[in-house]
Amino acid sequence: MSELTPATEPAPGSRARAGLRRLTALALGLAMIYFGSKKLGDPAGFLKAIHEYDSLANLHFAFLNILATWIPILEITGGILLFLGILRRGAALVLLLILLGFTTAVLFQTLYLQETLGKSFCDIAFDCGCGTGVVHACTKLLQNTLMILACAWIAWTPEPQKVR
Amino acid sequence: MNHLGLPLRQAWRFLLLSGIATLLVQFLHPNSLELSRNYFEGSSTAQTGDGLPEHEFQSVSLADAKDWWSYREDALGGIYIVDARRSSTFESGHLPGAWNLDHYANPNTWPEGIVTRLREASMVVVYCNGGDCEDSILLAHDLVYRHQVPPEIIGVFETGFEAWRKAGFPIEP
Repeated sequence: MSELTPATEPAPGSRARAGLRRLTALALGLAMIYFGSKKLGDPAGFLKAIHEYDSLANLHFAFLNILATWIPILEITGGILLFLGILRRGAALVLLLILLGFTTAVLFQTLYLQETLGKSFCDIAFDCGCGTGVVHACTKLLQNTLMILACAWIAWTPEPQKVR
Repeated sequence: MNHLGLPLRQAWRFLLLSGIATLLVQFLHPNSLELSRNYFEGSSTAQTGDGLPEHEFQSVSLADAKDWWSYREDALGGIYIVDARRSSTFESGHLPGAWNLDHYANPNTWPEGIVTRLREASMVVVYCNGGDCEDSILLAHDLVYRHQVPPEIIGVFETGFEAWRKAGFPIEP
């Protein structure tokens, strides 16, 4: 199922876009490898962090255990594939879904803490289980939004045609 | 949807690949989770009037914890202070003479013979950070229901390490 087609010389604009897309995939890949490695280094810490999410706490324990075991590997292998350019669009699609899920959970947890603690939204800081310890919710949500956009771009746009 | 055909096919292959990698890591990782274990058994969302998590064990106040701590270790037939926090947190400061039994770690990694000693103890005071920290309650639950330590000898020092530290009591190291 190759995306390679007989190609003509690409326009300079599309070449720059392809370069930027590749650079985005490399940066996203490295970030995912980093976040995944931090979680993989302490699976119990990650499990504990996701259990503290009010929206996830009532899920069946076996499901939480599987999430805490599988997500770090998904992030690391996804990061490696993004970096190497193998199954890149598929990896970006899966990572996009994970990011959407966790960003929603971070948003709901922030709203829950905001209501409980009576602080303003951007003053809320907690360990989101993202592998970076305690972070400010606004910073994390902004970071995740950028990563979601990057994943969506990589997943939706075809790999650039290669000139033979 | 045609536009998504290739990424979807790739996504399935990626999920399969990561599934195989997960099984391998689960087998090889020294601290991998036990998938069939409920790590949060005994956890409760209910809170006491002080905002501390509710539990079924006797409560130990800061003053009582200080007294039990003074008589710890085999004096009066065996009083044990047990720190339920993660080992990295324990190493950065704990009650002197406390045993670190990380609730989330495999019990095989706990100090040898500690469970037998706790079963024969006269008092086991379990603590974690305090506040909304539940690790002491989860460990107390483990000790009773998985390791057959009598429930009547277990006390949860709810305000925990933070209250101890703020009171200026001794800390190790």
